[in-house]
Amino acid sequence: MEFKDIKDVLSFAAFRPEADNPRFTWQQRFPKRKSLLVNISRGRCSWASINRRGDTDNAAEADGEFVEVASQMADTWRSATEDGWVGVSLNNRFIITLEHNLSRKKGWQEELRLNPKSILGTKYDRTKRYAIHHNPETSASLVMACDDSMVKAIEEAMRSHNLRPARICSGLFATTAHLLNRIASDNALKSQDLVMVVWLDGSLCVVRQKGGQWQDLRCRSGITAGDEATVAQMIRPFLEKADPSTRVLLMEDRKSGGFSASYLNQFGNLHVTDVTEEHNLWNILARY
Amino acid sequence: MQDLIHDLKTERQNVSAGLPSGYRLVPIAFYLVATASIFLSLYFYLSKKAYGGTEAEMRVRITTAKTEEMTLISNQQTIVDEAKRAEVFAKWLEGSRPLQPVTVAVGRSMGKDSTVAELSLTRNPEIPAHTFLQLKIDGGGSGQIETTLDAIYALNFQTYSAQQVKGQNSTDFQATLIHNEN
Repeated sequence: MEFKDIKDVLSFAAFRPEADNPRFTWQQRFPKRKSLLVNISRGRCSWASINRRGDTDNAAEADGEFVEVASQMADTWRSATEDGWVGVSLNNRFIITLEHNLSRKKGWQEELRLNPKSILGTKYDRTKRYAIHHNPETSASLVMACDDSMVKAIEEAMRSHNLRPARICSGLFATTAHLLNRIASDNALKSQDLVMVVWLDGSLCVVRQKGGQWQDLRCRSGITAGDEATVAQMIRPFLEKADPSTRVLLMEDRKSGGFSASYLNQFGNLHVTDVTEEHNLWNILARY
Repeated sequence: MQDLIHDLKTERQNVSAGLPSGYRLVPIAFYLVATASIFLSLYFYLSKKAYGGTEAEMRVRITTAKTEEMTLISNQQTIVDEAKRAEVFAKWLEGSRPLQPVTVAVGRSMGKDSTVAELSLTRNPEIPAHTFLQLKIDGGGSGQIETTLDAIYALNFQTYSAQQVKGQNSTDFQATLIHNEN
């Protein structure tokens, strides 16, 4: 037994899960500890430090690829975390799809990490890493696939700057799953005809839910600012199927983010409810 | 509802989920014992300090009491000494019986043919009860001595070391007279 083990027991740190244990929420991993969250988009990085109370401090962003930004900001990032742990949100080179009848056997989360083919079957691609969010009441599931090489490149870049990834996730997928969970737990919303629009710094995910069923999903990342044509192309199928009672729920990465400023008029007369909170992405990543 | 965010990173082997919550009793017990030790140490330290103060006070009191005791013993010794001297003096006074009745008894015991030629009564200064008698009687002989001694005996005196020397017409008698207390 080393001195550190004794210190960890006496400081109760030994009773907390390790910072990179994926089976626990961020709050459980970093109780009363500082942490840093980084969102990696194409050609841009944003980050926020989370203070010991779990609130967002000092959100900032910089243009450039992650490797370049990390080499410039590594010292600042290290000072904002304890032991160099960083939570990463990937916002490019991923795709979210709507699937049905995926295996939900006991321990599917572990199985997805260890042997994703047993869950995804023929849809499995060994160059990808996967995350799944199931609809609790139907057989539908959202599947997020991300480039394995991208994850490894980020891990390597962080390691070279003495930073350690406590979690690597897709911020857009996490935000979408969070919004779907909120709807599923709200009896009033659950049965409505909804179009859920989730926007995260150039990435867009739109889901149609009607009568509790997820009917359609479109996702795209790397949308450049002002690219109304791409957004309109993604939204059009949802608008065509919408009726006057259809309600649009919008959730962005931050209050008054890029989508509501540029593309909100594309929904025409549909009722749009913006459920975005201040520091929305950071709050979700720092809580769950 | 599963709100746990997915994780895509390369998982490290043997990631700890933390020790079971029940084992929190170990550090809690440690802190309780440490706190109790600190309080007990403080308590014993303060008690020792208080005892030190009390001990010093008691030492002062013992010293004062011993001084008072010595004074009392000294006074007692003085009183005892004075009592002894008084006792000796009382015994001396008690032993020093008046000699005038002896002289009167000796004088009255003289017959018609006898006279007291010399009479000396010398009290022993150390033992006042002992009086050395020297008597010279002219005439009367041994009978007169017996008469005189009877008169002295009648006064509750006894004679010791009596010596009688008979002269031509006189008799010398000397003895130590001791008063009989009974």
